[in-house]
Amino acid sequence: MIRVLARHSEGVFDEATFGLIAEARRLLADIGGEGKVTALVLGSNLSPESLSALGPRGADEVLYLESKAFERYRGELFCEALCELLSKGSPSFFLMAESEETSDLAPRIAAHLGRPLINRVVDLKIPRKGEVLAFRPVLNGYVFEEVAAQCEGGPVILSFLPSVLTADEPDAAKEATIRTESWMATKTSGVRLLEVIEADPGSLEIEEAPIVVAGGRGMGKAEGFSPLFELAECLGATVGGTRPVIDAAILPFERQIGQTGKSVAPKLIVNCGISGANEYTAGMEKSLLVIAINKDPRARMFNFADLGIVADVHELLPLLIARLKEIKD
Amino acid sequence: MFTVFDPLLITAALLVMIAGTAVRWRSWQRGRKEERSGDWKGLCGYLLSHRKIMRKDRSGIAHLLLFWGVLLPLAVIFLAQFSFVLPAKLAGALSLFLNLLGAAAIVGILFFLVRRMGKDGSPPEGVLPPAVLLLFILLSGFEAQGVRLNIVPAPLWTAPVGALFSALSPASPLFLQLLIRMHLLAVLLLVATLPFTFLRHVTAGALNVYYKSKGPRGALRPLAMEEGCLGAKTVEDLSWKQLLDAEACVSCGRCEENCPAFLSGKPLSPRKVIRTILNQMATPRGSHPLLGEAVTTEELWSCTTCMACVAHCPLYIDPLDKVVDMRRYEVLGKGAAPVEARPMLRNLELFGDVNGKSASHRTDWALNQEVPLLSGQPVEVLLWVGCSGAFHPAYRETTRAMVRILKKGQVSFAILGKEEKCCGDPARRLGEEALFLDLARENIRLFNRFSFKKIVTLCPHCFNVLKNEYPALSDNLLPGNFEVLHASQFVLELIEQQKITLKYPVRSTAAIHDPCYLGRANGVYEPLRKIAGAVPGLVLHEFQRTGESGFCCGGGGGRMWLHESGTHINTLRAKEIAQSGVGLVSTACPYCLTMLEDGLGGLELEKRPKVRDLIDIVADSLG
Ligand SMILES: Cc1cc2nc3c(=O)[nH]c(=O)nc-3n(C[C@H](O)[C@H](O)[C@H](O)COP(=O)(O)OP(=O)(O)OC[C@H]3O[C@@H](n4cnc5c(N)ncnc54)[C@H](O)[C@@H]3O)c2cc1C
Ligand code: SF4
Ligand code: SF4
Repeated sequence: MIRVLARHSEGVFDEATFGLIAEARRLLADIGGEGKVTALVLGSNLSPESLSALGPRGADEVLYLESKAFERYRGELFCEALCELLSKGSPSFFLMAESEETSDLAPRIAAHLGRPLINRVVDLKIPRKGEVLAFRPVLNGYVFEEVAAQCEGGPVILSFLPSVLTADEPDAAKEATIRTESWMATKTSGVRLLEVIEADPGSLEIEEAPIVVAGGRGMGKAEGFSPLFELAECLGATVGGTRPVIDAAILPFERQIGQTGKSVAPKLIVNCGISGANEYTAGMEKSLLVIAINKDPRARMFNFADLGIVADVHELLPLLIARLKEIKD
Repeated sequence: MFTVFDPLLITAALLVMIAGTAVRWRSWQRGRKEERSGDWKGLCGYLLSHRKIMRKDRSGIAHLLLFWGVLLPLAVIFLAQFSFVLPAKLAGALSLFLNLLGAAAIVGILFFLVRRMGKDGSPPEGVLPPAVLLLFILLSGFEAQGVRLNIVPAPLWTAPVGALFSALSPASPLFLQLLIRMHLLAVLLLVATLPFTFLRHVTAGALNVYYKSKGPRGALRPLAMEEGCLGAKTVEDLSWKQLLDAEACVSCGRCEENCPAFLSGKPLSPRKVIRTILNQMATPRGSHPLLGEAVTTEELWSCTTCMACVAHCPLYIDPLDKVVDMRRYEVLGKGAAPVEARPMLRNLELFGDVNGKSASHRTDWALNQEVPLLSGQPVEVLLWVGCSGAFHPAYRETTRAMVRILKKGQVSFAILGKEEKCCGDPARRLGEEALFLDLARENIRLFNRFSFKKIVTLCPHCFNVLKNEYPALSDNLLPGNFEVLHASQFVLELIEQQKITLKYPVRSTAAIHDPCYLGRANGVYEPLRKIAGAVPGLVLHEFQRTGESGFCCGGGGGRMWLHESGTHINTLRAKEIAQSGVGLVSTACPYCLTMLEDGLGGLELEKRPKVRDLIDIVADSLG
């Protein structure tokens, strides 16, 4: 029997979860194919329809624990609830996908149950009955190590790197049995949730930002950068810059993109007044969608752009900002 | 004059000196083993010519005066212990000669005293006492002569300096005795304390020159990985010769004065690195503090590996190899390569090039250029393209220019194409020795598969690694049956053999920016100037800092991939270029090209001097 932690945002399950279920099915086949794959869902107010999305992905059973307390991730509560579930029915594996939350949760559960945990797993093997061999990258991905764990006496906890998880095609004919239980914490928690402060895109690490607005020498001196910040705010983007901008102390070094700065690969990057020197593009070439705004039609930046606009940034940006604000309103 | 105690005193002083020297000897002998052979001729030439020391005029001359002003009188005093008679004229002349030498030595020591004090009022440890003592010895000697002249007159010309002293001295035999005793005591004190003050450079320095490296300056010392050494964690990880380096340092500061990192306000000083090692050598065995506690990572990563410190040290000390060994420990021992450089190192590991573009794009530059690929057919020249030549947008032009030149000269050449890998220089100089070895071995294996007479490289860093470092690899895969040349050397051959002619003028005033890895590392200065001289229309000037003193662009030692804070080194060089007023800077290195272009761009000049690779200039002028 294999259990899988299903991750969702207000009832919408993510791809990694589907991938995890597919992984669980493979693992189940490897250990002889007996038992079930059960998806554990913790949440509040989830509709039965949303839970039924897991069946076609390969879950035999969905166990939904409902509690007000599960609205947000809370380490001690999630751990308590999951440990209760795992100590029943003697599952041999508990699978989850690596995230900020699970890197807190997995060691808690492992410690509570006194069971082995292997994190950042990229591949699995069952060398013989009762043993599992996991592969994971170490030293910044330079090498891989093999970690073995014994399956005797309770579940082995495996946390996968989400990038290696690929979902199977959904099979509409499959359905999972769905069980819903409500849950109450038995222990009183020492932690109270006072307030939730959302991350400000402006202060996000530039490597993590999904949208980046980058400015170069073409933006002018410090005052010239105000439209750039305004554009970033409209787009919910994080601001970066070229080295001359950092040298002029307009932005701190943490915001430098390029060969001697950060390497970024956001979903969208808007390059304003940047010539596109090799040392800059080395740090952003892997971005998904690239927009370049430069008044010089021969700027090298355009070689990298999906959309290139030959314009003066100080004419174009105010128009763009006004339009974005209009759309928002 | 002598008392019965004197032989005792002299023996005691000598014993203290010998014991002290033995203690110091042990402190540097405990380093790792390293093969070195000595060179008597080199040492004698060094001392007699003083050329290396005189690289810096004034202190060099001061040293020369002091050196001979102490050594010759010492020799004469020694000889005077044997009784023989000289003709009066000859004795007088000898006396005059010694008098003048003594005066010269006083000038020398006064110069050093003022200079060492003057710097910031706090001379380095162990410098002041012996200098003052030496001055006292010289002055007391002259004063004794002055008094003696008052008692037993001699012709003025035989002792003019002594005569000056005699004018103000009494004619007292008692005072004379006192002076002589004090003079002797001072000499003995100097001798006894020799190993404990900076004067130990008399022995350690001489030894260091005797054992100086005879290989090319650009070659780094291999890492003793098979002995489990991952770089310099403590001084014990350094070799005995590296420790002897520190022992010999006189803290003159010439390394620092020429260090681009130091001059641009970075925390690094090569002198401090050496002094730190010296201080830590004094701690007892087994309890050495970590070098990392005294030399910060900011210092280590500031080094551009330009070798200016190595070139300018009058005692053949190499601060750079210590910096690299400490970097090795950071990277291999602690896994702490600088964050900005990690993507590059990873690219090298995964794709074999610094840009991470992979082998499939390595020959994109050669598209439609009809560049022959190396195959079973033997060729004369293997053109080594390098990562910059293959991927850097500006430097690809230079590679194409080189191809044009080779074709014009009807040279039989070919490239390795997609199989070529990074030479490994950025990895090695950042301390990633293991990665360097992997890349080097792959390339060497590749060389062994083909047949060619020469490797010609565009990048001086590739040139240095291929020429000086590959042959030293332990498993010695290299057959060594080919020559490695830099493009400038080969192109000069073509010009001299009239295989190509430079016809079209390039009208400009120009100056050569010497790349560190061509110049200081390999002594290739002349070819650049000769080629420039052969280009019609080009009027060649020299920068103030040129040749052995050429100023680094700031890009070597992996610095192309590291963040630079404060004043940029390339900005300093760009300012010097702008001030020189030339219209064209010619260099012969992709890093220099990028760095100088960037530095000059940052100055926002009205009329910006052009920066070009010499190969591009030659291609433009090709008839
Ligand atoms: C060793 C080394 C490492 C380096 N590392 C980095 C690095 O990590 N990151 C980095 O960014 N750079 C780096 N550089 C510098 C790099 O080579 C370029 O110099 C730099 O990226 C140029 O910045 P820029 O595009 O902002 O400025 P510029 O090259 O001056 O370009 C300004 C552009 O703005 C355009 N422009 C001007 N006015 C306007 C206007 N009103 N409207 C629209 N467009 C306008 C111009 O046409 C021009 O194309 C490095 C350089 C070296 C030598
Ligand atoms: S290392 Fe050489 S140049 Fe530097 S201070 Fe010491 S003696 Fe002088
Ligand atoms: S190699 Fe160059 S940068 Fe490094 S310490 Fe010596 S002089 Fe300074």
